[in-house]
Amino acid sequence: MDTLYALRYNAWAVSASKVRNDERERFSSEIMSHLDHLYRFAFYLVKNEDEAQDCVQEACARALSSYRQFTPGTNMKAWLTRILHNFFCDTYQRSKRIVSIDARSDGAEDKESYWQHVPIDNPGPEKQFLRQELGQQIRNALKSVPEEFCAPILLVDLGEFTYAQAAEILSCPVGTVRSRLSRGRKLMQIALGKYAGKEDSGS
Amino acid sequence: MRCEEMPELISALVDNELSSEELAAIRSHMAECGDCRALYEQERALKRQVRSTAAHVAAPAALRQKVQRLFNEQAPGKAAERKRTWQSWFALRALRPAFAVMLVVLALSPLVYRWWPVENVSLAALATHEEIIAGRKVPARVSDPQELRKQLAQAVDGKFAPIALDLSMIHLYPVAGFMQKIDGREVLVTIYQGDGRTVTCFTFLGDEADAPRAAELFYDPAMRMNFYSFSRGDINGVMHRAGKVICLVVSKMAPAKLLALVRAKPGHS
Repeated sequence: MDTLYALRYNAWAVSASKVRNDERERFSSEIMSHLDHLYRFAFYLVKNEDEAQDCVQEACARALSSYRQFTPGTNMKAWLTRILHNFFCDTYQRSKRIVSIDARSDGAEDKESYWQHVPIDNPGPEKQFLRQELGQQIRNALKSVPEEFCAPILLVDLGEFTYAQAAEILSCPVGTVRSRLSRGRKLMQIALGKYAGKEDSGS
Repeated sequence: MRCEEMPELISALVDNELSSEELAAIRSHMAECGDCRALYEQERALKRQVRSTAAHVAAPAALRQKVQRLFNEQAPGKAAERKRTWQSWFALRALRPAFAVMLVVLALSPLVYRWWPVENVSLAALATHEEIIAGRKVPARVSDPQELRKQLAQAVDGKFAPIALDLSMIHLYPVAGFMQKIDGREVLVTIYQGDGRTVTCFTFLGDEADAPRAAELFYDPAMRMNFYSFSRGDINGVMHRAGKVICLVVSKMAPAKLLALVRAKPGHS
C-alpha cells in the first residue's frame, strides 16, 4: 500500500513539474517575442543604448519575479510595457525636472519648412537617401521630446496600443494620454521644423 | 467648432480614437477648413514616419543573450527568491548616481544633522504620512467621503475645508482623516487608500513660503500655478496653493508621477 502511494505521488510530482516547465517555456518565449518592442520603448525613453538594455533586462527580471501576477490570456505586451515603464519612473525620473511646454513652443511658425520635405506617397528608389535622412531626423526629434509627451507617442504609434491601454500602462486617465499625444506631436513637428530649417540654411 | 480646439481632436482622429459625435463634428469642420485638413495630413504623415523609422530599432543580440540567460537561471514564480549580488546591483548603470549620492550623504551626515533647519509644517507632514503607512497612526475610518469632509471642516470650526482630490483613476478613495496641530497650526489630514497604496492629503491655511527651502519649484503655465516638489527618505510631497489654502499631497509614489498626478487633478476646496 505504501509503495503504491509513493508511486502515485511520484507520478503526480513528475507531471506537475512538467506543467511548470511548459509554462515557464511559454512565458519565456512570449517575453522574448516582445523584446524588440520593449527595447525600442526603453531606447527612446532613456535615449541611450546601454541604459535601454539595462532597463529591459531589469523589466524582464521583474516580470519573471511577478510571474504569478500575470493573468494568462490577457495582453502580455501591455503588462511587460507597464513593468518597464514603472521601473523607468522609479529609477530615472527621480531627478527629472518637468519643462514647461510653452517654453519649447518658440519658433513654431517655421514648422511648415519641414513638411515640404515629407514624402506623402512612397518615394522612388532615387529618394531613398532623402528617406534615410528623414529617419534620422525623426529619431532625433523623438529623442528631443520630454518623456512625459514622448511615452504616449511611443505607446500609440510604435507599440500600437489603444489610448485605454496606454493610459493603463502610464497609470493616468485616457484624457491625459490624448492631450499629451497631441502636445507631443506638436513638439515633434517643432523639432523637425528646426532640422529642416538648419538644412535649408546649410544648402 | 473653432480651429484652436482642433489639434487634439485631429491627433485622436489619426489614431482612430474619436467618438461618433466628435467624428461628425470634426468632419464638418474639416470640410470647410483647409488649415485643419493640412494639419490632419501632417499628423498622418508624422505617425507613418515614426512607425517606419522606429521599426528599424531592434533588440541587440547581446541583450537577447542576457535575457535568455536570465530565463535559464531562474524558474518563474521562484524569482522572488532571487538574490542579487552587490556586483549586480552596481552593474546597473542607472543606480550608479544613487550610489555616489549615498556615499556623499554618508560622508556629510554629521554636518547635515547639525545644520538641519527647524522642521517646517510640510516636512512634518511627510513624517505624519510615514506614521500612517507604518500603522502607528490609525484614525477611525469614515465610509462616506462627504461626511468625512464635513467632519474635518467642523474640526477647524469651518475656517476651511479639506481639498477634495479625485484619485479614483488610480483606484484611491478617501477612507479616513483627522485634524493635526503642527507647530500650533491646524492641519486637516485626509487619507486615500486602495490597491495597497496610501496617499495622504494635507490641507492648511498658509502661503507658498510653507514649502521647504530645498523644494524644487515647477511652474505650470497653463494653470498659472506653482508646484513644489520635495522628499524625505522615500516619502515624496507635492504642494500647491489654492487661494489661502495650501494643499500638500504626500505619497511614496515617484516624485515625477506624484507631480503629474497633482497637476492633472489639483482638486478644489
